[in-house]
Amino acid sequence: MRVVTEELITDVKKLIIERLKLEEIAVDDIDTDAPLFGEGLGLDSIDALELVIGLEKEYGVSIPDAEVGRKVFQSVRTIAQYIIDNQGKEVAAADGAP
Amino acid sequence: MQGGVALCFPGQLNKIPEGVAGSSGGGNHLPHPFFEKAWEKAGFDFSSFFFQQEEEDRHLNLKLQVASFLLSMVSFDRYRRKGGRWDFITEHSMGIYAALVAAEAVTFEDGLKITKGIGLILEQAGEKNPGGLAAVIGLESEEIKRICSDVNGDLYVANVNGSRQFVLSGDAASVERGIELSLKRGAVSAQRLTFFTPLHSPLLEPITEDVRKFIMGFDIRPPQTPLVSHWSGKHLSEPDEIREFLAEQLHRPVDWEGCVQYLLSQGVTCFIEMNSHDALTKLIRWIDRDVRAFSYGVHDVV
Repeated sequence: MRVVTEELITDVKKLIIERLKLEEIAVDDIDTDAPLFGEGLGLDSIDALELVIGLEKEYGVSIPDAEVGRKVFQSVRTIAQYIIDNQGKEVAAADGAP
Repeated sequence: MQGGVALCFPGQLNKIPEGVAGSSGGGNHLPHPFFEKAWEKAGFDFSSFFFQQEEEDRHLNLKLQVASFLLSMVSFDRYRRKGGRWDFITEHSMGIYAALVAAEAVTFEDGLKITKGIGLILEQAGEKNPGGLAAVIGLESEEIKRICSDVNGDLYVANVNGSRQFVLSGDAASVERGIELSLKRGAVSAQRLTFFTPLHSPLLEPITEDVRKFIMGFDIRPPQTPLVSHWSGKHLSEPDEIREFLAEQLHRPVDWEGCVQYLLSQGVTCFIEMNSHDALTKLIRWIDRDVRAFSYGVHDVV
């Protein structure tokens, strides 16, 4: 089973910074386990859509609805975990793999 | 060639801004004469977030609208004093009142009175026929239209803010149903905004005459800077045109995406939001990822 690596955590932080154009924030400024919405980085639903698109483009994982989104976007770590758990899933299903 | 600069005046705040107002109560004096004027001319105390008149104070929307107007004006004043330049002034929804002042079509005092007066007309309309707005993020235009027709009631598209950012407006029950359907059909987010009238929908047509009469009493001059409206970028140039816009826009939808596209086509390369938040900035980021957009804020003041 694949696990969340520090490299993936850094890549997710880079994706957030790039997608949301957070010019004044560096990778090290983002706490891996802090909430992304409301408090913490203070992101909102328009930012969430940017992240949904970013995750689709970069990792080929989709967020089907708001409920999943709420769980995935809790923190950088939960996003990384979701990527690990879901990357390649749709391809596998199309191949008829179990 | 230097690119064009558009100053963007956003609509009503959705909540009392944190760290700006209402946190510490009276005595929190904000060093800007506009806040003093709001007290003198409109009986509104920004730092405590209350109206002197009790019948006005019970309306949260009215307070948010006047507060939005003030924050935009302070942001603009700060920008102007520092020698900032601009080529266009544009607005979103209720941001028109501050935009009119910035474009020198009305005085600050009249802008304040217009904001409050129209705000009160809207509150009364909302009390008679409660409605609301909901922001739906993530669904595309076709789906949004389907949701409006699938809801068995009065539900309309009030704002086209981007290709996947919309605001729905309607009677209270239809808005709730619209949120439910949007979430079921995969919206990233669908939530009520702090608004109790069906703004930018045909349900508000009945107040058009009242607004028209109210506006008659104000001296409106041609704008000194090109004023580009949220009606897909239509210019507002003549006083009568502005009066008509103020009355009509309340029951007609906002096309912010069209407005931004128009400004881009006119050579605008920098959008500066005039307020304490960055709602329009984020919408512009979606419409064109490469254009410069930021919120100027009110930091020097508060």
